[in-house]
Formats: sequence, C-alpha cells, structure tokens
Amino acid sequence: MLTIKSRVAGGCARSRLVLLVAASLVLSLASGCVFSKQVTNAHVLELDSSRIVVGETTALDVLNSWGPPAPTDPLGLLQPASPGHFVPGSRVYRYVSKEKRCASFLALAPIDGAPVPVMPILPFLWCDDQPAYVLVLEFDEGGVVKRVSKGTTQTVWRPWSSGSDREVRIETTAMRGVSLP
Amino acid sequence: MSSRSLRAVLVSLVAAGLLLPVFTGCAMQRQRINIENPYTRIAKVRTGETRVEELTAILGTAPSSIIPVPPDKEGYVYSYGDSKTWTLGMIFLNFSKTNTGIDTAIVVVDRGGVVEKVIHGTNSKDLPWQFWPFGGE
Repeated sequence: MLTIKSRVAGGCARSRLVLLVAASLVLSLASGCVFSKQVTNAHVLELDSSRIVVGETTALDVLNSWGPPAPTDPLGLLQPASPGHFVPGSRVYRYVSKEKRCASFLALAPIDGAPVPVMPILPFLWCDDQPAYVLVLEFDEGGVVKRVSKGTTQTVWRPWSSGSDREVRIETTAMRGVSLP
Repeated sequence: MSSRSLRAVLVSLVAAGLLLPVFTGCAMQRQRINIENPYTRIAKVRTGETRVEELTAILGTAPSSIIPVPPDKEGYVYSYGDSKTWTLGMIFLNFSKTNTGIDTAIVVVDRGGVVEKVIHGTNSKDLPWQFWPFGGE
C-alpha cells in the first residue's frame, strides 16, 4: 500500500513539474507587450527662443547660435524640397523635434541575444508619430526675424489613447504690422 | 535516472524558462549617418586655411549639395547624424527607446577656394542611451 501511494504521489509531482516546465517555455515565448519610443532631434527642445528678438535678430545670428535647421528623418537628406532641408536665402527656418510611440503584442524569441518577433499575438502595431516641437522663424527681405511661431504636439500611446486626447499648443510672436496666421 | 536527479533537471529547466525572458531582451543598436565622428572632423576644418579640395578627405564624405552664397561664394552642405537604440526585454513586457539626431553643416568657401566659415548643428552630439519609453523626452 505504501509503495502504491508513494508511486502515485511521485507521479503527480512529476506531472506538475512537467506542466511547470511547459508553462515556463510558453512564458519565455509569450513576452509580447512591446513599447517603443523614437525621439529625433531632441536638442531642438533646448533651443532658447527667448533670445530671438523680433525685428532685431538676423538669420546669420540664428545660424551662428543654433546652426542650420536639419531634417527629421534620414530620407529627408535626399529630398531637397522636404521641410527642414536648409536652403540659404530661405525666408523660413523650421527647427523640428519629432516623437514616435509604438505599441504591439508579439511573441518574441531570443535569437542571438535579442528579442525577435516570431508570431503576432495580435496582428496590429499601434503608432503615433508627431512633430513634438516645431520652431518656425520667418524673415523679411533684409533677413531680419519678423515672426516666431512655436508649436507643441503631444504624442499619445495608442490604442489606450486616441488623437482626441492629444494636447496641441501654438504660440506666435510677430512684428507690428505683420499679421498673425 | 533517479527521481531526485530528474527533479533537479526539471527544476533547472523551470528556472531557466523563467529567467530566460529576463535576459533575452538587452540589445543595443547604433546607426551613424554619412560621417563618422563628425564633430572631430569638423573641428579640423580651419577657416582661412583649409582649401575646398581637402574637404572630402577631412570630412570623409562628399557634400550633399553645393549652393550659391551671394555674392560670389559657395556653400558646401553636409548632412550627418547618429541613432542609438536600447531594447530591454522582460517577462511580458519589452521596452525600447531610440534617440536620433540629424544635422546639417555648411562650409562657406570664398572665390579663391578657401574656407571662410563653418556652420553646423549639434542635434546628434552626445545622444544618450535610454530604454525607458515613457515620460518626458
């Protein structure tokens, strides 16, 4: 009797262990909530626009202090007409910082030490890509700042937040006689 | 195999299965655009001394474009950048953050082919390695 009981108890413990092993293997593959954020040109957020005096600051002053505006994606380097591509003599300089937030649910497996998606738990990727901060300087014919516009756009975590939750702010300072947009 | 050693093997497998997700996701990735060590190279361009023929050798790349700078100068436009990604994977959750900086540099060259001025951005300077995607920047 004792022998039968111990065999049954041992068998139950073993099958529990096997279940645990199977569960842990499944868990290792089921690490699938992925949150990622990409910030481009964060340095633009540190530009001190209070030093720009409408009607006095020139384009050369801006270039010497901040450098020329730059695109926010590598492809923008190949497209001369894209926003942010610097053209001397241009009457508008746009300094832009961009932010992109993405969330997805994937089954990941460790391959070469990095998590590689092997199967989508849900076949969706939610992203929100916005120009988080835009600083626009407009110059007159003489190269003097005539208008400064600052805009901030909040990026949200989809699908938990929608575009209507987004906070957008725009602030414009212009010379006298120059109309606001 | 005795039941004790079998149990030890199974416990080890359980532990490995639980710990594996914690250590699978630490990955760091870096991407440089056009110019390697741009700020060191740009510092080597001397105004009043460096000639236009030396720019490609110093900066390590050709200009993205050449534009007229009135009245009689030329601007050599260079684009460069850097991108750092850190991914951290844990049980059920994985975090990743990419910091990217893209810059434009303009080298103004006079009629004699001598560099007169260098203007460059610093978006891609000292980008931090970060894995936490929530909050602030």
